[in-house]
Amino acid sequence: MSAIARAPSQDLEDEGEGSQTKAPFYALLGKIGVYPTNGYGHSWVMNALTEGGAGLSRHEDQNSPRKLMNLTEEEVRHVARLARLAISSTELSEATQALGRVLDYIDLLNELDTEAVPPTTHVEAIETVWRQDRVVPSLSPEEATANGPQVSSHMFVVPKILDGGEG
Amino acid sequence: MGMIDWDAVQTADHVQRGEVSAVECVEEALSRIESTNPTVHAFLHVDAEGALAKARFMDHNVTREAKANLPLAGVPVAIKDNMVTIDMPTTAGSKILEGFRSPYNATVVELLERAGAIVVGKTNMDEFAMGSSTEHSAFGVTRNPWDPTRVPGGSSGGSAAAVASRMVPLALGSDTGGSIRLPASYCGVFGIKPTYGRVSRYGLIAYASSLDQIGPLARSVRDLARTLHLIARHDAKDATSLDVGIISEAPMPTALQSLRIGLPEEYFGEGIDIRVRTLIEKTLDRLREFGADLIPISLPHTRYAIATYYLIAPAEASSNLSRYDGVRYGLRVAGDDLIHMYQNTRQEGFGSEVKRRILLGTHALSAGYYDAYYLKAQKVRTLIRQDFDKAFDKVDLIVTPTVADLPFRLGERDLDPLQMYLTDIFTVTTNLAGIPGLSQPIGLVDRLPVGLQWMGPPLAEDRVLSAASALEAILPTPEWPLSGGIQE
Repeated sequence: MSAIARAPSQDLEDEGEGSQTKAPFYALLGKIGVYPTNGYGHSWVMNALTEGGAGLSRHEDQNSPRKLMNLTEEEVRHVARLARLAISSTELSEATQALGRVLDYIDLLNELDTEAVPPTTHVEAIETVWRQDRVVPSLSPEEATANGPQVSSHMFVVPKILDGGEG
Repeated sequence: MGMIDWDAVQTADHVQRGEVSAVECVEEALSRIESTNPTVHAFLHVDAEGALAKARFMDHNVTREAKANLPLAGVPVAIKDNMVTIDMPTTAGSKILEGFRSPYNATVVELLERAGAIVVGKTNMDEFAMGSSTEHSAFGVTRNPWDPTRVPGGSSGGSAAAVASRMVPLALGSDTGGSIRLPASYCGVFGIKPTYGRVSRYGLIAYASSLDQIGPLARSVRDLARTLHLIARHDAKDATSLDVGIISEAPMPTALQSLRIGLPEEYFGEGIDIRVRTLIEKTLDRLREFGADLIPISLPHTRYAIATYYLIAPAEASSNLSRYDGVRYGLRVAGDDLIHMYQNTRQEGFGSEVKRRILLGTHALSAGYYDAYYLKAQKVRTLIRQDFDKAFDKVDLIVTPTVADLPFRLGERDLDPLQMYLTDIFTVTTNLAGIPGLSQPIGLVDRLPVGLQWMGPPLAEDRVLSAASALEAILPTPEWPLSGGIQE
């Protein structure tokens, strides 16, 4: 297959220090280059992942070169409050670990100098879309409120907001 | 070849010629659903009576002349459950929308019905389209019809499985990071994500609004083309809908002799499952034999695509999903006051993956992090788009594997969200760049399907479809699973 240009081979065997068995999927990804295998202190990712996927705690027990979480449970609790999620304490620790790992992976973007790059606002160059301010047929109040969990005279009923609400 | 094997074009042709009735087409679909859906679980909701009533109406009240103007006359179709329908419930795979009944139809549903298609049901999906396996549905997993111990891919897994197992010839899916092409590849059917803005998103439950696109899944290229011809229309109800002309109804197969096909080195590294790689290379050899010019290219920012996607998509999702608050529709769980009602409703109504992405997105948008995460990702997105712009100066189309591996087993990637996220590495780039991508089945290895992905410049759906059609013509006719029933 001469026409297929092969990516420079990145031998994962050298990266995953101490790992014996590798999850084949991660090996694939490392070779494709989606997994950082050099340059950004990410060898812990390869370690954790090549150990068989979910080996977070196992990894921490080992000679961790870096704290896994760049996110504390307190921060996640704060974010959950912003997102109006009453997550349980089990979920909190699970989410803190999972998000920490994802954010660590996302650090990959810091390899790139994007100082002079404009952010994408829209993938197609379309101008501001205008329309006539004209009244057209729309849903009746009955239809628009038909799915409401609690409705009175075409209005959605909610628990009281003042006195006792969080704000 | 029986009715079950007909694609949408053949079905419509027969109905238009009066050789079969619309009722017969719908009955065929319903009986196949009855025998196969218990194993595959592609459908969340089947509206047998409603579909038969519409078919009867067509048979009795629509003249033969009028049917000739219905390009999908009598064709049973399935709709992913994140597109709203008046006649059926819409849940987006989430408990928070259980019992929701939309007061209007999505534009795509209107357009399909206007063309004579008959919607028979709504298909399973990862909750709010967040997933790559259809395991994250609140209403149970969908199984791969080729091997029920494996996932169908996701998030449009129900639509892909329904088409592969021949319950329906045609289905709609949505694609935010690969959600049409990945399940199309894993189930061995055709699926296309059009250019961002081609198909109206009016009535599509929003996941990540700058990435979401609706597209068809089918068992032939011509079915994709006919469907896109009908649904890729400008719609004033979606401000991002493009007004750029229509896609050809029946694209001519490309002359491969003149075709410059780019092969990005980043998608052909040594990491691809060897069985997938071998079949892809064999297929590329066929294209070369027919005169295509295969040109090595580079899309250097590919390795940043997943990280970029998993900032942009959850950020947009965290905003889009704020509307599920127990006030206007869906689930409400009581609380002492308004805030606790919100919190209890969302805690109870959302599944774990959805909550994880809401947390991630909220964090990425929160004070102090916006520049570091969301803005950074939007800048890298620009670089990814520029990679494609440069590549399409040199080549007409790009070909890659759709997925690096074969369908994985149920539960295999469940423990670790990051592992699941990385399934999408070859598909997310087209969403970030806004360009069209098509997955085409190219054969089986170990009785599991392999997909090849075509990518084209913005708005070049005709070119993509023509090339896929040319390849379809030189490959053996695809096989379909569950041929001998559901014993396998």
